[in-house]
Amino acid sequence: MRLRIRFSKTGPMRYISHLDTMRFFQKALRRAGADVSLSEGFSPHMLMSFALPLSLGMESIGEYFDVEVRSVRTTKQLMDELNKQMCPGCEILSVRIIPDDKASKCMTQVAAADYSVFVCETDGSPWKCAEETVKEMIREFLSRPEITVLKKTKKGEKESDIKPFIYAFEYIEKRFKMRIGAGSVNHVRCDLLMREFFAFSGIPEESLITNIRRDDLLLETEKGFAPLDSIGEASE
Amino acid sequence: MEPFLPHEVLMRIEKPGRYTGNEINAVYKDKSEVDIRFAFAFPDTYEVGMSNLGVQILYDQFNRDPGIWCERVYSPWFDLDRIMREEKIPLFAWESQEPVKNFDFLGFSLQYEMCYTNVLQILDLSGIPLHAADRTEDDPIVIGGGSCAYNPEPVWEFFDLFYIGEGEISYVNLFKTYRDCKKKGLSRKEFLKEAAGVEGIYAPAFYEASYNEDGTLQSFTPVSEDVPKTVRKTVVTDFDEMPYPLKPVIPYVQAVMDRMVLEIQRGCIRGCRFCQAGYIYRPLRKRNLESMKAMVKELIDNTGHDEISLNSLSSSDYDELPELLEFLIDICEKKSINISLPSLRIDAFSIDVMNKIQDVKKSSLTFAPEAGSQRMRDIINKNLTEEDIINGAHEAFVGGWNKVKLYFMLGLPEETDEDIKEIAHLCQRIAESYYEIPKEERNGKVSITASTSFFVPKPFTAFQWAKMDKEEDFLRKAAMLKSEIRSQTNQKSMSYRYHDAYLSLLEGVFARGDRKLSRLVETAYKNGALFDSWTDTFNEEAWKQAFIDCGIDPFFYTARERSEEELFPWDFIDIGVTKEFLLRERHKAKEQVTTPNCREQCSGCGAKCFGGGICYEA
Repeated sequence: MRLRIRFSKTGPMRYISHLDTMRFFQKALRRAGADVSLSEGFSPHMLMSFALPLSLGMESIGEYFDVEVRSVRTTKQLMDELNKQMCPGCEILSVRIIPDDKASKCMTQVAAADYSVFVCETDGSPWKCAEETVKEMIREFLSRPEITVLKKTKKGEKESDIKPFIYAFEYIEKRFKMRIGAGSVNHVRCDLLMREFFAFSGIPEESLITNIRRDDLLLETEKGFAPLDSIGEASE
Repeated sequence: MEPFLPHEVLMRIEKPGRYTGNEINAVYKDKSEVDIRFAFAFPDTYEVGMSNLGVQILYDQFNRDPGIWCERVYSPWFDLDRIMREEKIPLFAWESQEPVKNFDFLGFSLQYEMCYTNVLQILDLSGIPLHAADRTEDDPIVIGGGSCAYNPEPVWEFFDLFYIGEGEISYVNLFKTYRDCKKKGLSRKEFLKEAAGVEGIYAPAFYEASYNEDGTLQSFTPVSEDVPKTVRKTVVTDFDEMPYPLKPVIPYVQAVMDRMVLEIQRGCIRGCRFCQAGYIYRPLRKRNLESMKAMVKELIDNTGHDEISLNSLSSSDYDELPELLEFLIDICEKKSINISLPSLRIDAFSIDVMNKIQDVKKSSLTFAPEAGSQRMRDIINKNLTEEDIINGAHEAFVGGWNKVKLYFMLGLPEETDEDIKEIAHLCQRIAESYYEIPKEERNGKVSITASTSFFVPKPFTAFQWAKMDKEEDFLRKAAMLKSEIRSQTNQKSMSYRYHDAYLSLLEGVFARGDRKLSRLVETAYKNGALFDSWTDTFNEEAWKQAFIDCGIDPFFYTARERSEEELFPWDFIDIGVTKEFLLRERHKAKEQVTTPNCREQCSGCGAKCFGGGICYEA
């Protein structure tokens, strides 16, 4: 049986690396008494996979991992037990039973990500004066036929057009909100997009960014994007 | 707690999660509701410090007092160290993320000599004067404990107090004294004087050392009559009365030892003559089997670790080991937890146990014969015969293992070149015992790794009078052993490794050092020495220059056979085991006579004075 677990990673937890976060959850699952399945073989380990690694230093309120369990009493009960094992900056937000076929793996499903980029209000920064000005900058930025960024590949750097994968990009209340492609196919790096935007708009100071937060990871349905925990079911 | 370090600093350093605290089971208190704030420092990286059981024990014990908030501190790695100095960021404690300078106490766990420059780094970054004499009412009381506190003199200038012995016993008294003094409005100096009278506490400022012309210690005396002449170590006699850290702090960033630790006993019955731990932790005291069973269950529930390790100097000497292992194997199998058994003698029993706990994955087995020849093993009182070793290895080979690691020392007292060559011959005989097994039952080729460390004489051992080899002697011996190994029939199955000789020399200097060395540590630190126990960051030049700058001859401390009448800098410390007993052991070593272990027969070492442990077992 496969469970999908959504959690947040904020405050001090944003400095914990992806690998360390995995280890943290393995221990938390054990402490919570979860009936996890272990792999066969000489060194049995939990069958656990994360949707998309979060860069060190970024916050998130929409992280996901799938884990195989042998049984679960109710997802509500497991969520409560797991939350007792969390620490400031980490909270379990949902636990759902999802189909355990290959196509339903969170890594396979993830197609887009929502981010909030918070910017500071130093004197003279363009968004301090007028929200409208920044909105205008965005309109201009998005009106280009192509938006290219340098992507690092195995063979070095490569120019790539990310415009088709910017599904939303707006500025509201001192933060940029965006929905961009994520996962193995059309991945867009939030920081590269911001850099390109700053460069295009003639804003020199990239360190105006105070915080980047991932707000959610999404899968694609016929009706459009939906959060990774919109599938499956929860039990009381 | 939000990190003390700014985001942009955390993003510029390696593994920032080492510095942000917030770990599971870390203790948080309201600082306005405590009257003692204790910063407990481990002068090495976070990953090493988090693996130390002693810190976890005392952290747990101190925090059981609602009036004390004990927090942790570790050495910032070079990258953060540099930023903190450049940007004048003070060192902070991990829980509250507040500067160490605001604390009442700064404690150091001193586990190895090569951590001393890191002690200075922590003081320095905290903004606390390096010299105890320069500290004011605004500075924390700096106290050191752990195995290096058994000869605290080389770092005496940097500490207000040292704790000699097992911390569980007397910190309670020290804190009581501190509270009393605070209530009375006494000064720092008055408190330190009071503390000097507390069991197990050594306050170096209240003692004076004078030296003979040849540099040896002439006298060591308290400056006033109300300061005790000797300081006796404190010892736990009943573990069941002592708390154990059943909710240890669990790091996010992987510690060197990422597992549960169960301390099954303290002390050792063996009496190996080179081994400081074997003498200073006497007498052997065991933990009750039934209480340990309950402890294991709690540890599993509270940590979520998937591995447990037994902690003791010699697990095979735990008298109820079969029962304990039976329990462990049962519970760990149900919960898929690995069992790690260091310090186990390799014999039929342990092979059987290991077969049970690690089914198919057969990593290498470790033997510590310490010396190659029987003559040499008798000198060091390593009660292990060649037959034991060969039989143990053979059992392992039959059981399916094909890799063995062997640990030896070079430069032991009375050692001859023949003794050293015997190491190679022993490896050969082990290889032969592998090839006695019929080919179809063998598991491929055998691999034998021999490692040698250079013998460093330590205080409170039978060899505390001994002369230590010089670097060139060590290197000659290592080269000779290497060529002897290369001339063995099965040399292709053998590999040989040896430790850094200069590092061993430094360790030798500090192990039996005196007060004159404080200046050396400080000079080396100022010359850039830091993280000296890390091979890749060890700054040999900084140390060599420091010896020159201070006009100190390292060989005075190492390459000198001490006379039996010599007054040692650590003689004022009473570990229970008497100097007379150690001297007897030294003589027996010269005569190649062994001493029975504590369980076979009491040899009257003196540790009986503590009123507990093996000395009183029927």
